[in-house]
Amino acid sequence: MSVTSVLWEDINFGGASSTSDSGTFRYFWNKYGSAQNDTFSSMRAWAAGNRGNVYAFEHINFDGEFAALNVGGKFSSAWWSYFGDDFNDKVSSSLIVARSPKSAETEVPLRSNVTSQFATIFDRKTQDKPVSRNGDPRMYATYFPSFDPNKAFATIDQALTVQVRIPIKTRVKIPNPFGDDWVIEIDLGEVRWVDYAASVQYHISFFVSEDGHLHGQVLWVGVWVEAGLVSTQVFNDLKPPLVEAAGDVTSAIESALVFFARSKFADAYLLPGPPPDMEQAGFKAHYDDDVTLVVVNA
Amino acid sequence: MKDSLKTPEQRLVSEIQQFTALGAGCTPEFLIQSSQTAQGIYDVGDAQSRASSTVTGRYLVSRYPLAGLGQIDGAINELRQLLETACDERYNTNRNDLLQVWMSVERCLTKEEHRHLSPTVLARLFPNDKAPTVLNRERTSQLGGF
Repeated sequence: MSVTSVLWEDINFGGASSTSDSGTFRYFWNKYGSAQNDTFSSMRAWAAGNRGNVYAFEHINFDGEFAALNVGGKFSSAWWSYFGDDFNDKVSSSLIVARSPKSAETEVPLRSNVTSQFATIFDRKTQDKPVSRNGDPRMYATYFPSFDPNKAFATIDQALTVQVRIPIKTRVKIPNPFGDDWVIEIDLGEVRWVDYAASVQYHISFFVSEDGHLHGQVLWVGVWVEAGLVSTQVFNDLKPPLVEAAGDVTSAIESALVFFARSKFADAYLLPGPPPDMEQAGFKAHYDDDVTLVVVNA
Repeated sequence: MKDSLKTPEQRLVSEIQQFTALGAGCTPEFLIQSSQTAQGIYDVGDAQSRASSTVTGRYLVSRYPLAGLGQIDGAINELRQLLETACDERYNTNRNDLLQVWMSVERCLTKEEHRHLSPTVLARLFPNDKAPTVLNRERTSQLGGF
């Protein structure tokens, strides 16, 4: 019971290949180093007893554009006999996700559900602060990152603009004929500095606890500030409230899982992009188009 | 020019000019530090949230895995033997052996060996498979299934 995939270096399943099989695992991933990076032109997947989805990604960390195949639904085998000129010789990583029977699974596209709640939380948290959201939050799956290499996360990624103001103070020395000179510090107010670009990522883990309940918790928070003369100061001011907001995001997600609260589950996992239509052989999408939570009944 | 439209270098020069206009000087150490982004990743989870789905994977850096003298040839011989001895009754156990050996050697095969072995292996791994009858001759992507 597994899902098998093969990528070939030539169109129509020709040339050197790379075969993968999910075995007994939910996820089976490949990263392609210099030998096979950006070489693949065709791909095929087989359902060897499992439903499943196979993804070939543009970048090495399972991001960028991707081409997907769906097997075990309408199709027991599916293929891209050619990825097309737009995706030829671009694959740098791949992922097999072995699915459970359709009757046991519930799929939840997360982007529309989560990002609007996040924006509300974030805007309240940063009211009257010199930081603002730059566009809408993006949502995507982060697979097996270096900071937690055995886990998959649903990531909320928000670009920020930080308005920097620098306090200007000057010291005036007044001669003292009777001893040491007096030094007076004068506050000249604040100067509006250039804006800094920053971003925050909340990496959410969806998991089933030992009692069979589904949870969604922020496990990691990433903060980034662009290079500049006061980057470190901006970062040090920005980090505490952003990390603290992780608790609010977790609370909001746990509250949103109300429909799952009365049931017991065996597993929860993530698919990149929107929910795949298993009546179609495959599709192409971008990794941050969406992320799909799949919950498996106990 | 808006800050967001400047290159990082243009932006830094602009900041230094503004900084100097305020009467402040920049040391070389300060400039080096300022040319780097500030970033961090923070663990805010608890022990319970470490539960995860099962996962395995591989980083295929080279076509050639670490192998002692004769190991690759030995694996190719094992693959040939599996292809000769496989039969329907042993399909379930044999398929997994065949898959594991094939996954380990396919990258190191010569073009000729690959062309010779690949169709036989895939036919054995997927005995009821139907090869696509319409192959792609266009430069556009082609998706199919059965």
